[in-house]
Amino acid sequence: MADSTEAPVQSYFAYDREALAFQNALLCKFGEIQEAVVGKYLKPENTQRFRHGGGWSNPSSPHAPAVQWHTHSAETETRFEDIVNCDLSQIDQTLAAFRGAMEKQFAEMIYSTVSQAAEEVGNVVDATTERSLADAFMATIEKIDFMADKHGEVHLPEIHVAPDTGARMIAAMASAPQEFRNQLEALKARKPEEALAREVERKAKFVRYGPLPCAS
Amino acid sequence: MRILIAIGCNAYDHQNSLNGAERDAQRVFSVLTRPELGDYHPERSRLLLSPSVIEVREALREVLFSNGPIDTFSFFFAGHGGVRSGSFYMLVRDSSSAALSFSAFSLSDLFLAINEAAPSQSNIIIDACEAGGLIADLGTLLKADVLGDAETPGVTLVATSAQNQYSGETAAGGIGTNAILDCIEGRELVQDAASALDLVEIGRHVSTQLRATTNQTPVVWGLNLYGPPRFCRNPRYGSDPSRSLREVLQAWPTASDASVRANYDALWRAYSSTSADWEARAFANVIDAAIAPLAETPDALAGFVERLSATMQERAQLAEDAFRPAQTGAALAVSLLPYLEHDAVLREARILQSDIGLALISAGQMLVDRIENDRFALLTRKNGGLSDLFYLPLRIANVLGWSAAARLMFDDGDSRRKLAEEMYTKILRMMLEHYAGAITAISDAQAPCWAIALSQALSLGLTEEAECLAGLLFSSLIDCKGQVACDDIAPEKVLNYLSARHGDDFSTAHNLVGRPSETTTVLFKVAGLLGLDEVFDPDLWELDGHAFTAYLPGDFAQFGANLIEGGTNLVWTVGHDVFRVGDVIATWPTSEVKPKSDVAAASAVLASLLYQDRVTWFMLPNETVLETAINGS
Repeated sequence: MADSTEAPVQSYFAYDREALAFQNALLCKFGEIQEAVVGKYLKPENTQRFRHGGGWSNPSSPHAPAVQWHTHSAETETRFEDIVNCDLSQIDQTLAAFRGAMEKQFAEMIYSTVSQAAEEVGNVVDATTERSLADAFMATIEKIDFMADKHGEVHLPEIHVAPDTGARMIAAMASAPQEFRNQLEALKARKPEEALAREVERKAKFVRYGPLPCAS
Repeated sequence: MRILIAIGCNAYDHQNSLNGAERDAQRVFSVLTRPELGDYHPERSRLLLSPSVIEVREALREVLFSNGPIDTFSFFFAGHGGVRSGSFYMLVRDSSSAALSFSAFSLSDLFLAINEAAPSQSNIIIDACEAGGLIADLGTLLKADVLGDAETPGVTLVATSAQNQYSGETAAGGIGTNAILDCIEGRELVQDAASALDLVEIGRHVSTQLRATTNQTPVVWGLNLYGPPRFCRNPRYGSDPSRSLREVLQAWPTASDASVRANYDALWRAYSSTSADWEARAFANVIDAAIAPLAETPDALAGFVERLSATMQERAQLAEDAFRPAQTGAALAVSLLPYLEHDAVLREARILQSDIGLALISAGQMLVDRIENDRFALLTRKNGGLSDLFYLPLRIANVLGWSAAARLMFDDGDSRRKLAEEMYTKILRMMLEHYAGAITAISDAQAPCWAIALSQALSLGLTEEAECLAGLLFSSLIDCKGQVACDDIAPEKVLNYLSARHGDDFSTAHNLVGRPSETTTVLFKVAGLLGLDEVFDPDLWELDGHAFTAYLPGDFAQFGANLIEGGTNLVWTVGHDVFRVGDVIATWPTSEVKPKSDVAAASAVLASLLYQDRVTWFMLPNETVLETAINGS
């Protein structure tokens, strides 16, 4: 029950419509930040948007686990005191807090998803059981399939590591014996060829690939 | 307490005299004070014959403010009427045309008195020259200070001649009054499903009749928000001998509902929007909020929606958009989806669907006539031009989808279903003949329309037309490499999308594209049904990398919701797991949930047409339907 002594809600020159428009502009800003965060990991043309339901599945891969939605959220706080003091830095702080929360959650999600998918198919390299960090790198490249796009361009895999691990890996590669380097070069030459062969095989599954030749 | 004031004015000091106005008022008074017809209090009600303006005001004061709480107040006027400075005046014996504001009785004065006395329901019938001019007073009525607070009553008006028209008289009385009395006394069947009639129902019936048989175009306006109809008893109720006597003799309902009061202003705004700037989701939100508290009383819920439907669809007739009455009815029918397990709601939904079907037949036929006279009739006439490069294909999809849906609103064997089928056949052929260049996959909002248009063409055996339609769409999909706009693209971004599509460069327009697309899935499913896979498959390389989807709900009860919970989004990618049309057909789930009844299926179709971000995949079954279609099933 409401407190009978509580003053009724009252407004004074409310600017309700304007405030709502401002909130919408802020939401648009959040949307742009979210797009930028996702864009660090995924190309915009590979981003998909769904309107309904609790997840998605791939009917052509019935054994693949159905994917459920995960909510990413951010909470920011602005003190009445800061508003009264007309502290404009609150805008930057709010946007930065949102960006930080989104970056953290998205990075966690994408690494855990990749990690889980790799573990499910046993595509994992344990650096502690390899002879050296250089060998671990070699084993990793061996397990990764390079990708050729539909235009026949082969894209090298991206490697995401912590800065100190990256520095140690570079140092280990630099000091590796020549035999290791030769092996790595051979691998780097073989992998794109395999990728291109797979791409030819993939395109062959279409009835036809490419425009019909012009009748002369 | 049920109170009536009936005024008839034959004798005028400053106007031409009339012959039948007093007789009309006497007949209305006599009929409505009969217990078995109107049950208005015979002593407290008043009959005024050729009164002065002072006598009218005095009678109104006495009737409205000396009888305690009034449940139903009805006001009838027959005589001269007139519009002056945007207000409607009823002219009585001493009224002078030169000083109407002093010597005549204005409708605004009547509204103010009603609002102060606050009967639960007020009914106003005016059978007068220029009675349709009372529409001019609507602006006054809708102002908050005139409407009053949440206790403001429901008001219904029926005016039996439109502005600039003169009300007709026959030897038996005024044409409008005769038509109304025919309904009250049961000579005309309005409906036989409820024990009482609402003035809106009567008004709609009379309106249809007078439009067809005379040059009068009556105005029906108003909302009865509180409880079941209460204008008069329904003498045709119970003509079905299976109904129990107890039902026929039910008492006048007096209960009003708190949810109506809570949504009162919103309902009036929704009502006004039906003839103007209407948005399906905003309208549905108001309806959903108003009916949700009635979930435990399905009879009341069905009755409430029935009354809303009658009045909303009548109002929607005033809209410029010929499809608005159907759309308004569709929003109401879809709002019933969560409650269809109740028989009363199911029945009401089917009645609503029949109304929608008729509205679609009417709109479709009107469009056919227009296009026969003007090939470009579908182009925008306001702020049009280049915007139609995007919106004309959308409009065509809507025309085809809605007109195709009309037949689903009727049961098998219903003769109206045949009319709907003929109308859709004409429209489909007309679109293919006159607008083939604009039959283009341009937005994912078209997907539900294509699904219904193509599935119904198949069901009707219009195989050649369906192949032509699917072929045009697939060709445009290949041309743009599957980059159709997202279903909710902001209008101010459409120009950017069209430029990107024309230049085949979406580098700055990725977020304007529907990804994954449902349009593609519709075309693949249809290709499977039509055996077009051999035509489509050789070009699929053009869609290499294109992702497409189908959302399958887990339960159709929520299919009208803004965000549908549960269910699954199926996703395929050309060049990854799909290389031929058959790959989609082969992997389509066999356990797809379907609507539990034809009524639910028809409402789901309406939901997909209204909101356009969901597709009724059950309309496109995996197995071929061609054979059954050809066999006429």
